[in-house]
Amino acid sequence: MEERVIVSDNDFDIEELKNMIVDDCDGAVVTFTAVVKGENKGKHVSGMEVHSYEGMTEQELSKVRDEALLNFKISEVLIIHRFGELRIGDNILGIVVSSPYRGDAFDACRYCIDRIKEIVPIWKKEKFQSGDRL
Amino acid sequence: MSSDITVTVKFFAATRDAVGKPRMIKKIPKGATAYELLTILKEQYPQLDKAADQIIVAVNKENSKGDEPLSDGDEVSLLPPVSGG
Repeated sequence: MEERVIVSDNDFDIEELKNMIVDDCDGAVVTFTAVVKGENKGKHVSGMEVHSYEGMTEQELSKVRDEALLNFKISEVLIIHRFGELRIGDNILGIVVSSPYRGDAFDACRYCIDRIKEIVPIWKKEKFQSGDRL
Repeated sequence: MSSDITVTVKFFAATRDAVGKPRMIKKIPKGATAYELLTILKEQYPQLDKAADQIIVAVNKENSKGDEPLSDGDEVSLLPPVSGG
């Protein structure tokens, strides 16, 4: 089976990821892409560093995927998270959920992003144009 | 026979900034727990206390309550609150 959880410093194309998991039996595919935003709390952002914990990040993302597959009527989930130096507008996170049911596809996608923010060891540090980092 | 064990400690984000390095090799008394190790490190690096209100401890890449005795060669990671997504 192709990878369903990816942690990479390479960019991704959400359409290509979608094509990797779409099933002919499914009528709903929900995709989510998080990108680096150019402003946070009124301050202009110039870029972002994303750090992961090699091994544990993949392991925790797999737990999120397993939970989604267990809790929702979905066929497949693919999650990709980038690390490294990113610029404004760059992709950070991609989630693709395929399901026979649109409600479960939306709910599972939302569940994945919420759980990633809770348990997956990834840290983002925004760089501001003022030179500050947060 | 030595009464010490050696563990690798890894730091990320705010804990890395506080300590100034991504990892260190640390000798600790045999039977010490991860939280005892954290206490030792906080004494050595007071910034660790300020770095993160809630440091999560992982032992060998599994979240840990930190109250089990560590083993020689363990990898202990001090994880500040995560911010992915």
